Amino acid sequence: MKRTGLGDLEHQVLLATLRLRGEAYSVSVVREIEKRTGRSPAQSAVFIALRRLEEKGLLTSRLADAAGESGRPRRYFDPTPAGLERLSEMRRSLLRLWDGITAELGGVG
Amino acid sequence: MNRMIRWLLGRRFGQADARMFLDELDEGHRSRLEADGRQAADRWLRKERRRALLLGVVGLFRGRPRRAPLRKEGLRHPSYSGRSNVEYLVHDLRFGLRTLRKRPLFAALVIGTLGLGIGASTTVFSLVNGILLQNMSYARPGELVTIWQTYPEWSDDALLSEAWDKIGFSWPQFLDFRGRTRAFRDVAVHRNRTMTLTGAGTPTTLDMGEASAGLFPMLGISPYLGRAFLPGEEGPGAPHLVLLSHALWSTRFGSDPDIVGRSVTLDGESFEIIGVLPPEVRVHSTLFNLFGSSIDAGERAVWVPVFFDRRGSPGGHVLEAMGRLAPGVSRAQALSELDVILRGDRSPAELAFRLTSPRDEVVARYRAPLLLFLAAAALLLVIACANVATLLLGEAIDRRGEIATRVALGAGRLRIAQQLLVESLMLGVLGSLVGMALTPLGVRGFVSLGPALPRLAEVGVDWNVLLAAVAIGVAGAVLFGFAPAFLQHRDSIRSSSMGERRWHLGRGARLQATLVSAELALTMLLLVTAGLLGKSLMNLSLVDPGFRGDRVATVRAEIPRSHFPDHAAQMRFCRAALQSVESVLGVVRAGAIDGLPFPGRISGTTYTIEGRAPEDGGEIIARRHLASSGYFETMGIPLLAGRLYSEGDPGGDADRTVLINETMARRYWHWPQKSPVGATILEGPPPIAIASTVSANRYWIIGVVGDVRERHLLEDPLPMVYRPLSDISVFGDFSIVARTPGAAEALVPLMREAIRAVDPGIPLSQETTIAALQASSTAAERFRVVLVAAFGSLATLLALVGVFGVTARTVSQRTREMGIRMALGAQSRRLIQMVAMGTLRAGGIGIGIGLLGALAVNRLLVAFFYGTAPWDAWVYSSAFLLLGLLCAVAAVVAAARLARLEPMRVLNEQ
Repeated sequence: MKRTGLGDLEHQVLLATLRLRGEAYSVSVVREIEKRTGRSPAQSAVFIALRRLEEKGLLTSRLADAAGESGRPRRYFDPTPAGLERLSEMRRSLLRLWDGITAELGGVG
Repeated sequence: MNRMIRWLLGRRFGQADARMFLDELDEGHRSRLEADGRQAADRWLRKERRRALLLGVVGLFRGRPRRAPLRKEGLRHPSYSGRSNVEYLVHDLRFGLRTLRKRPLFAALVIGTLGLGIGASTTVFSLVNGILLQNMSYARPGELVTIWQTYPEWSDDALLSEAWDKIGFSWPQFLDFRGRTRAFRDVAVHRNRTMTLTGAGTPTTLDMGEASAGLFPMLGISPYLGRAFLPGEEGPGAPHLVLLSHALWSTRFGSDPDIVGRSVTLDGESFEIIGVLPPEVRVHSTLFNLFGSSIDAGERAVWVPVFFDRRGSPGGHVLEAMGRLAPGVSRAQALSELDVILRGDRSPAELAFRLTSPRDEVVARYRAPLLLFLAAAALLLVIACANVATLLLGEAIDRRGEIATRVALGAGRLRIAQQLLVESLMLGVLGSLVGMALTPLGVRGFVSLGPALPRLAEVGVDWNVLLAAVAIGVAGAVLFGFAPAFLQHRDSIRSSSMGERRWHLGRGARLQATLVSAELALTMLLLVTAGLLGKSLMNLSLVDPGFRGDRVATVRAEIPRSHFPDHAAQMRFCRAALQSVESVLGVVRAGAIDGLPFPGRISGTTYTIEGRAPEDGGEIIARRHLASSGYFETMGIPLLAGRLYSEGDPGGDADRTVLINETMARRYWHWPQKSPVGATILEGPPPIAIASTVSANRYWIIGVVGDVRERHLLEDPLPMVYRPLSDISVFGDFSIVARTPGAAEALVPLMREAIRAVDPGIPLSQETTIAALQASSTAAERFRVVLVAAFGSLATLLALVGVFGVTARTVSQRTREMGIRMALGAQSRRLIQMVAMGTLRAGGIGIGIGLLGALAVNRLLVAFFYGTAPWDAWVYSSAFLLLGLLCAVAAVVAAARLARLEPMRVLNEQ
């Protein structure tokens, strides 16, 4: 990983916010990652990762009044252009790394 | 846990998001509840919370706004970085308060203990300050002295030694000295008596002062209203003028501003009011103290010119003199001037002079007991401080984990020290506040319940005392709280090895045991002293005074010669008053005497046994009393041989009969082998008495009566001669005693009325019961016992807290160790023995040192003891048993707690 360094979890969280399209908060992000990967990350870790990504300028958030079941405000996250840029950059480098090695893995991929 | 999480996350992301986190945690929990069931959902929640805590703590590091490298700046507590000292302080205070709130019992014990110690010591210090240290409230008190004559030859006389250094001035002597002195800028005399105020309301006996004209100007007291006495308004034949005290003016005359110029009736004569004195004027009479056991507060209701009515004899040495030294004159110079002017051709052994400050004169007799109380209070304070130290030290041991954690998180040594210091100071200040609150209560309680002490009315709580309280509290807390706690933590700060802490109690526990030992030693000292004083008092109360004073009431009547035309009239009044009292309903028997026991009289007369040479013990020095037969019967003084006087045959030789006491009979006649009844004694020393042929000084002994201790319960009875009351020409006042089957107090007003009915103009005083007089004679002893015993019990209470607190803590601190030892197969009996022996060892050392200390200290206090050696085995073993029992119970309680331990549960819990 280069530049600011994005951890695995941060990478996954960033991707999940893109999928959730404006509905991303810790519970929904955890559910999304569980659904797609079968592994469940710690919700508190996700909660903190969301905010750390925001600090890094990769996510932006908005407060939705009385959105939660408690009737208190909830914070939803969306990728910023910088976030999207970073995602596609990571995808490109990963794809370049994957290029031409599908055969060696056989049916595993 | 949620609060902790919210706090941690709040510091990083703000309160709103922290709350959001908890909401979302709930939401996640709920959705898992539906999908996976309660068990799994709950497990998830617990795990999430733990992780959140961890992440929160880590976040504190990561979230620092300035990402300064930790190592390079040195160890810093993360949450404090970038704060000012004031912020640290506020934080420490808040943290300290929270710590205290979490341990209310601990906080209450520390603050209460400290408050008690401070309150007791500042109370006693207030007394010492007000009585011994504060100057009299006169102008420039440093220049004022009391002037006494002394008769050094009297000092080895059994009868007169008490009075030798306190002889008053006669009026001519005073006038002579005042006219010639250069060393004194001013001299004045005063004395006090009682007068009866009639006219306005019920007749009242007032404490009255007689003053020479210069007294008030010399003391710097100017009247509140009107004027003081003018020069010349003094001495025999002075005008009937009166100065009212502020208290009498406001209570009796409703603070009438136009009072000056009006008149009042005192002892049946009219006096013109010339002025009102300011409040709180006190002129103490100490000559009065010598003859009465009650203590003079120095407050006089009225002041009149000295010797205004020729009452009493101006030639008597009854005046108390004070003087203001001229500028630059030393006391020694003043003394030599007194010698020159007043001694004349007498030798220094016959007449000398003594100057003291008015304050020292008043409080001299009370210095030693007051300092004893101060010492007791100081001991109590030290015990309280030791207790606080053990409590805080135990606390410090318990908190080693916390401190180690904070050190691990980067807290610096100074930060930890500051935190501990702030906490100790907070306890100190709170303890001081409690002490400050207790002090006025203690002083008030003492003033109203305690014994009579001079200047007690002047005792108050002043700023110095309260400041001293705070200083003591803070110093105590720092010295006894912070220092040991910091020492305790120094190790953990250095090594910060958390794993080790449970295994090694180290220095802290040893220091704690030492403190408990010290506490027990001091408590032992107080208890033994209290016990010895108590035993002395018990011995005193067992002393037979020689009479039965319960159910006997008394009133003293003055019979001034000026009031009666002749001796026969005085005699008639005496008999009439006695008869009148005897006829009061409820009086079984009444009698009269010229001076009651306690205080008794200091007077001696030399007698010669007729027909016996002086070298064969023919010369007798005896106290002399005038008493009616009824006196012996009323007071229950037994007649041992012969008969009492036959009253009703006054005059002539028939009256020249005397009774003597047992001591005199034994000493000079070897009674009971030989009876003195029928023997004759002559008044005067042998050469004069034998040469004299006048029959007027011959006395026939008609009976022997029991000994009476009359000056003090501790005196050895002296030879005593009782003469009949009809020999009245030699006294100016007498006391009537009356026995009743009922309550003696109720009889007092009836007796007063009965005497008034005979002659309303007679001044009455000392209207009380014999039991009260007797009690007042041991008031000082009783007070000593009560005070030291009170301190002793407080100390025992504190020691109790200390010992139990320490053993309880030891048990809880060593529980894990015990569990492991048991699990490894150690016998629980051995372990219990070990812990119990530790407690007993600390107790034993303390009690042992206390015993030795008590032996050493109480030898210095031997003057306070009566009928008991300062090493009385009974007292020592009682104190030993009491404290030993206390330690034993503490050890048993600790052992019982250990005995209930189950090794596996202990290990699991830890």
